[in-house]
Amino acid sequence: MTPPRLRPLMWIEARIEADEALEGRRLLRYWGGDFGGHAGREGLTGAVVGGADHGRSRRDGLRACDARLVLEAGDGTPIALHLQGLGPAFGPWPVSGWAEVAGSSALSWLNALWLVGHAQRCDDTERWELFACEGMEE
Amino acid sequence: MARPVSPSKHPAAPPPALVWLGLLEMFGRRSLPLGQGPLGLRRLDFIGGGTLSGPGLRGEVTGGADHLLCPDPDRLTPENRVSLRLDCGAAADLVYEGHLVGPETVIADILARRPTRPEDYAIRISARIRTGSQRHGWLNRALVVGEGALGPLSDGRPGIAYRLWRLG
Repeated sequence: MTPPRLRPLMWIEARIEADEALEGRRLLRYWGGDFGGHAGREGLTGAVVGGADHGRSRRDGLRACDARLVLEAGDGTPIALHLQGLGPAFGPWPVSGWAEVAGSSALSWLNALWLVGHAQRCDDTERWELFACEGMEE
Repeated sequence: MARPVSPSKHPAAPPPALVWLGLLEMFGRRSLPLGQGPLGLRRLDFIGGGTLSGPGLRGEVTGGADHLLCPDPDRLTPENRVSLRLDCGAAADLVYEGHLVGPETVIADILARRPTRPEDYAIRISARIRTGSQRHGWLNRALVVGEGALGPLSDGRPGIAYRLWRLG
């Protein structure tokens, strides 16, 4: 079965402001960092302005990531990313999800994409690499 | 104002591998419209049955429900919990969420169960599967993505079919 083609979309480096445990969950809060688009998406740049990962620490040692990353593009457009992942606590772990942008924004094409990729933590920074499933763009 | 960053800071990394998991086909039983809620139009679509088939993996869909939400006229968001009986006899729980995007007219047709063409919309999901099965324990460690299509299933009845891949 031929899988969907994946096209490089963007990278994100999110700084972790807090990392706390709560009843089987691992709560991360993001604050600061930046992001940028890959070839053909050079306009997709800006800063990480917040977000959180209320992931679950599992009995098999893996961590189920359930993240919302809040970005601000260079033109001031807010972008919310809804991403799930599953893997070792410090990665790399595969991720999947979607973006949410105001319909009136020049970046509203992001709403139609399905995103997959991987993420990895290094010290107090998480690096995310996202790809768009081909054929999803308007 | 956000600080622009040069995209050349990070060269594109290789994409994750998509490993074929199988085909999930499901047909409906009945629907329960909840009407307009705080997040949009909500409808419960109960699953009547179906099958999951892939390399080394077979199962029967024994039930479940989609808490379908229409937050915008050009988008539906499925939120499903599906129960499965695997061929080893163990039960499994498949949970997924995602989105269905397309023109407003197509979304309206889908909500009204009028025929649509898969090329006029896109359904993408992110799923996890939980099971106590020893033989299929690897499913617990898989993050699954899928793309769906509405229409006749392999047995001819109307339903939804998802092609599923494991993200490596």
